[in-house]
Amino acid sequence: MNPTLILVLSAVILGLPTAGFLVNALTLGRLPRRLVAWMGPGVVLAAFAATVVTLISMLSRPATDRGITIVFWHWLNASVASGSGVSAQAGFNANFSVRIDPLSVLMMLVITGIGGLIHVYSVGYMAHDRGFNRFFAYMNLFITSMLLLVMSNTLVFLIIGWAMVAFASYALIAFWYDRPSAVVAGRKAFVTQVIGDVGLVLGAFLIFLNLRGPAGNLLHTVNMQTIFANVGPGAHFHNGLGAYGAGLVTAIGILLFLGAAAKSAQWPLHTWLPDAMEGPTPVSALIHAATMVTAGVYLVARFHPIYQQAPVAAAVVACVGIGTALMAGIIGCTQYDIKRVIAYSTMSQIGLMIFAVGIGAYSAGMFQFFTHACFKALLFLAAGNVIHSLHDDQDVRLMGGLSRRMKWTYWSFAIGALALSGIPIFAGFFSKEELLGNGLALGPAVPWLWVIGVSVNVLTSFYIFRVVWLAFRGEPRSEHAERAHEAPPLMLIPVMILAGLATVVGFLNIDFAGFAPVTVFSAFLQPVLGSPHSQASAAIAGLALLAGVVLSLLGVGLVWAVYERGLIARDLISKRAAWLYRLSFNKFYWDEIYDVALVRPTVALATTVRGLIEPNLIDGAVTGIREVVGTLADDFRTFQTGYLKDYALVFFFFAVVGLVVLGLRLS
Amino acid sequence: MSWPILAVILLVPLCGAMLLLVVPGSRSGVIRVVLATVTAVTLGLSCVLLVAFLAVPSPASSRLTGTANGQSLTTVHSPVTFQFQEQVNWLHTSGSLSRFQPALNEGNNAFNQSGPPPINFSFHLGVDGLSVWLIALAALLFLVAAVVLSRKEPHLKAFAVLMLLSEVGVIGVLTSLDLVLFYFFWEAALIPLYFLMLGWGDERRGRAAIKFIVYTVAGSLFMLLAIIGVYFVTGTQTGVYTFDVPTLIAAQSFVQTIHSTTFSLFGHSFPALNPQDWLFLAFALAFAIKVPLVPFHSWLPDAYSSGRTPFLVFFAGIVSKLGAFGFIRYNLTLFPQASHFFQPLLMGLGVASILYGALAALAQSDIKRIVAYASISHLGFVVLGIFALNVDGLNGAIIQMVNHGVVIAALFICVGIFEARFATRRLADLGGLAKAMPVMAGVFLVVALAGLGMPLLNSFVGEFLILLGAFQVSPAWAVIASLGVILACWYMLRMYQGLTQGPLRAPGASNEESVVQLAVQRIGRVDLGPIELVALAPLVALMVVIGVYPAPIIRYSRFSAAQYVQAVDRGSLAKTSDRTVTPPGSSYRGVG
Repeated sequence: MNPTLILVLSAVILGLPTAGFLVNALTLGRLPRRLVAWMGPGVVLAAFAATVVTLISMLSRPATDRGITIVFWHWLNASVASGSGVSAQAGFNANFSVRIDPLSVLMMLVITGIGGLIHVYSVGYMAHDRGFNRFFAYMNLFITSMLLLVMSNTLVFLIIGWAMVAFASYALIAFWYDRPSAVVAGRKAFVTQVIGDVGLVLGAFLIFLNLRGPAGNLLHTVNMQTIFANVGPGAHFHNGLGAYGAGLVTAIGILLFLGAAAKSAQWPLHTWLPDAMEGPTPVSALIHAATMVTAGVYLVARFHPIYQQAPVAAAVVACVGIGTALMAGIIGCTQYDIKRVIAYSTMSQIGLMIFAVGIGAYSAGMFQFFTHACFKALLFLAAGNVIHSLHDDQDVRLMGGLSRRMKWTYWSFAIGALALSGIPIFAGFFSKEELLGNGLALGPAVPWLWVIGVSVNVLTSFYIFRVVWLAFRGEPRSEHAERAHEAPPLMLIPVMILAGLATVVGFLNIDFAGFAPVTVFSAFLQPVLGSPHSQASAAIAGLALLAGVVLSLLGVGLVWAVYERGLIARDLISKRAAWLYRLSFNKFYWDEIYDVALVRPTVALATTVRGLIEPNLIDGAVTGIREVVGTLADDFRTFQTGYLKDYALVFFFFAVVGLVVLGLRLS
Repeated sequence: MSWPILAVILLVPLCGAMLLLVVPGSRSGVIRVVLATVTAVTLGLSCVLLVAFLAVPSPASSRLTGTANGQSLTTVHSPVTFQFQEQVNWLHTSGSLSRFQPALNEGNNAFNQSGPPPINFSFHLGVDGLSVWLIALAALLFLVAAVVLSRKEPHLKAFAVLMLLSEVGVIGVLTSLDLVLFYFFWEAALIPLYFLMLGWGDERRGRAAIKFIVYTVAGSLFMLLAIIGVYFVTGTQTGVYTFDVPTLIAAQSFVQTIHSTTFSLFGHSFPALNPQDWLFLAFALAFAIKVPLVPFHSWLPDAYSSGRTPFLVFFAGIVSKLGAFGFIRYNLTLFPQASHFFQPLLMGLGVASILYGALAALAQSDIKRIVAYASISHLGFVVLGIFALNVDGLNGAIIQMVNHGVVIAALFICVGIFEARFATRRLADLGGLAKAMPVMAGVFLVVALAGLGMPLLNSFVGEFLILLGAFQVSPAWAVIASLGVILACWYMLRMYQGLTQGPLRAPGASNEESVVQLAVQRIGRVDLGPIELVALAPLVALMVVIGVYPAPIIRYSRFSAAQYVQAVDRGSLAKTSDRTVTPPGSSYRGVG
């Protein structure tokens, strides 16, 4: 690839959304709306075009030569060379460089492409909002930050992007800032993200301080390509972290995953995501479905050389992922807020991706990310059409019968639901089955994690088709639902484009059960992520595939039986297994647990500091000294009576004492 | 530089103060113009200094202390070098005082004989990569304070004069290279600050001022004793009796202390503290009060919450940095062994300040107090970085000192803006103000993000380097300190969101119109005014610039940071081997 061309292109890709943000921010929201409506989506779509040019330029090269690193500027360098009276001292140093390779280009395509569609949709969705300009400023800032995250070749700038997307996410969750719930949700999301950031930073410290080169010298680098070359299987393989034993590399893996878990809403840092649905729906589609929440998957895939050296950390990743997938799936079945159901679905699906990258099926994880970005953005935007048309009602109990009034939206949503459930020919089928199939051969506790993963299929298709039935079928259950109307074209066209994508993108990679006629996707990523690993035998894999599809259909069938035909009572679970229902409905009580275990103790401690320690101990000591001195001064003042006889008496007393002492010493 | 730029930088605000004395107090416009001009000129000069500082080729080459007489064994290179040195002898009772100290062996011969030790001190100025930034920061913050100083401020003239006098004191502390001179400026700065605190502010200012002055003077007293102590301890051991800082720093290579005595406690034997340790502690106490470190911070919340905004801009912005500056300039260089010995204590106090300040900030209901405790928390990071005693920690500390000055000044301006408009500082009384003042909300957001360590804004750079430095010494401390980052996010968002988001709330107003009306009645506008914007703009710009491109600051500071590390590393040899190793080729006499 031509470095100059790539330099220009990546500068354009990063620069355009930045410029969009800056223009909007520095004009203090005074730009005319029409201009912003063009500029906001325009810069993102232009960045998408530049990304496509990058992709074409990349595809023109042989597969082995598709990675390029470009240095933009030296961020800082604290090292000092010897001379001028000081000896050489190695300090932190980092530059801002970007890495253009198949993995980053894939991410960039999704971010700018789906991001661009969502921007277009937002022009319609936010048309009447008071903060129109502010919205696009934050959206553009998010695109910039997310691009920075995936393009950075420097660990520090990855962290910078990592934290900036968290800020953009916060700002957009709390976008309608006069709603107290939105404000609280924003804060919760931000603080959770910072916990993850700290993990990432500490992991970066460990790498920076311990990584050794082939000659055994400390490298002191945050350049990710250098890190990977010295950690994982590369041209001259040696484990640059191996000198410290497995503990160090495991610690790095776990710390990095702390960041990934916060960003991707994995247990135990998952509770912010459902609350994040307080933000406008396009935000949920862009940030909390398609892009930002999948950054954790990207991180593990990008750092796979480290996870390949740290099987324990990788196993933790896989187990957390599959556990979160199951838990979120169970919760999703009982929620009534349409956006929250989709949010839990996101959490569950990302759990599967995390599971995939945990067991080493990196390409499969990224494929699931890719298809998921399409159909989950589709589901959110279609849900957004519903919410928009119902005047911000999000409760499925207040919907019903929308299929007749919102035909296009209904079919689009249904395609999204089919894709999510993994029904054949739709995108999710190919990606999910490939992903789960890997669970039969790779990772810890084969095949039990696969068993959990495949049974999540029932939950997935159940909760999403439950929404389809409750929202779109049956009779309208509210006035708003009766007067629902189809969305305007500006909001419908992006939805339909996404519906098309959700139908076809699965065919990019047909690779399961030892049957791999199309490997466009995995071959594209192969230079970065390596070849797919060995799979289970064709017969077992084929049965597994069948099991997956059957279970998905079973979920749909259950919805049909419960909500269409009433063959099974709706309150069966809530009556027969009330504990399970309560557990699911109350989201496994994690919010309550954290409240009691973390939030309240911290607040209590802070209140103690303010109310008890500060006035009594800190100020009290000072006041105490003042009082002691004051009292002593008062006491001594009484000696100064002003009467000569008193002074004479004191003088006489001490004179006698002095003489006696003197006499004793002398004798 | 052929002209004494440092002396000029000191003289400009002093002359400005003199000039203001002749301006009639009623001419508030003239006073403000003079004040702004003088502080702007000072800033301009310090920018010239910054540019010239880098332009000097090879910063250390010819400026080493002790190279004058070139005796290879006994000549000591000061590990820390200074540029733009200006020296005028002030008082010396005997002995020769060349521009760079006499060779140490001569000193030994001369002074080991009987007779009273000579007293030498001189008007000696100089800068290094640490102070050059702080001078620029000080000059900037005084200019910003001059800009935000309201024309309607009561006793404007007195305020302006005192402000310029404290600028002289602050820059004097940063530039002086003689302990006596340093002490002079240290105390001289206190006087105008005390009167500024006593004369302007809310009803509790009297109590705050007394507390501040007594507390600080108590610390200074110990420092004065320690300055005299350094003079004699260094003198008796090396024969060099001087208050000259470069000479003293160089001489420390020969000062050794032997822990012949130990005391036992609970069955363990500990080395007894030697004179160096006591001197270290005395200096440290003065600086810990000034920073302040928990638990010496009792004066701060009162002082910060009762002061006026222009006062707080430079008081919180730069005066608190003097303590951290003192730690680096004096504790690390004059007491290298003690610095290593007390490293766990100081790092512990740093971490304690981070967490304690953050927790206290989380529980405050007064927005000024939130900022005050946030300041304690942030300065804990600075001390943590300093006592990591490595390049990363020190660079982080230096850059974080600049960052903190910028951020805390901006925070106080922001908080002051809310206070001025709504006449309350209670967080619970205010809310949703972004509706009424959108521009303010945007600017305040950037400032708050900088305060919580948002990447691509300035504090992130400092905190990252500090934590990296601390991590190399003790991963546990670094991990605990990083909890402070999480808490910072919490308390900053609590304040930012409390003020600007949620339902609209202000005392005496029920809807958007009445909020606007109320503020307009009180000060004529509700959103940011042009003057406030002018004051905040350079600070916000710095936050972004330093965050995006911190390389220039590090380019200035890294050399000095490496030098300070080298200076303090002289003590690490002794630390690793029971602190009883004698450096080769030195003649010294132990104390006690």
